[in-house]
Amino acid sequence: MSVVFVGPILFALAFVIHWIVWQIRRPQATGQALIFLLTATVFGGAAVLWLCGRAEPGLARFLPGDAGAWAQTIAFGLAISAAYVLTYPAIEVESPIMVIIDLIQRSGPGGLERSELYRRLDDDFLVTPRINDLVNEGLAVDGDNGCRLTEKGKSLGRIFIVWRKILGAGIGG
Amino acid sequence: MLSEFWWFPVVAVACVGDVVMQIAWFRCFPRGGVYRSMAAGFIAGAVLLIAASLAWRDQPVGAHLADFGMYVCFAYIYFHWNNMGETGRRVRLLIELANAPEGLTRRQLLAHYSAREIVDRRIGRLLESNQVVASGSRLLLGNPSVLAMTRMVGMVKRILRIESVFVR
Repeated sequence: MSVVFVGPILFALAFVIHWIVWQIRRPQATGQALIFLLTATVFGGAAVLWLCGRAEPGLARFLPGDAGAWAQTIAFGLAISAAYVLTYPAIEVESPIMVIIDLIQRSGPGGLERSELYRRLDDDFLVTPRINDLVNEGLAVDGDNGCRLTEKGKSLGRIFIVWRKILGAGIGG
Repeated sequence: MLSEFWWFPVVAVACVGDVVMQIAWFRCFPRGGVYRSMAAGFIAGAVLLIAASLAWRDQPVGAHLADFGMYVCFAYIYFHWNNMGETGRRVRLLIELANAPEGLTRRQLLAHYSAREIVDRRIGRLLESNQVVASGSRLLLGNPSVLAMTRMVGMVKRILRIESVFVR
């Protein structure tokens, strides 16, 4: 049963460290920082537990027993971490759907005019900050001739274009 | 030694099954939408996980539960991947810029993808799923499940001390 408990414990440790770092100073490129932090903590935490198990046999019976079980434990911790990393943008950035729902809920039983949503959720709120995110994450540059993708941005853009073609889906947004 | 890694092909088969079924379902039934295809993919992958796990039923229950946990995490990640392509503003901006290698001014970018389109698409989705109902030109709350998610996200924002429009 150790695998099913130790994996989530490694993620919980990684989350605590993430919380501590975010209290000190939130990094600029939060996505990349989060991936590095969670991955390093899961692996580091597993290494520390393994060493503790070797030093203290009483503890070892609560830990994975062989290389395969350790690999499964780390994979489970990383899987939960990856799920959190994918969720994090919705936490950090205002999700338009959640803002719309919140505004409608706050307007009371009479509801909200659609035109009021257009007025409050304008380009400065919904689009400009996301363009700035692309620049801050090194995916685009904004120069005198306008915005252009970096090589990193072009690669990521291509991945999404190809994926949407595989699905047979149109442009999203 | 290799038998210690029995769990890997079990989870891998389930994940591949999820992706293959999701793509096939969406290609065959595009009008059902991406989300329905993801549900079909999840079910197909889960069935494969159970079937593959039966070959290793002598392994501890905890290990099988961890396999299921990993599969659920993968399905969740895959849902987000598809959701990003379907609704992500940064993804849409990336695609717009990728289709314009000579670059776009901010004004041109906003002409391609504006706040109005963003709001209209989302209201459309909310109306379709009855999260919101229209009463003339006014919008009212319907099914409260997205509201519940909004509250949860607000709580995590408070824990991480991230500023929010809607943290009270």
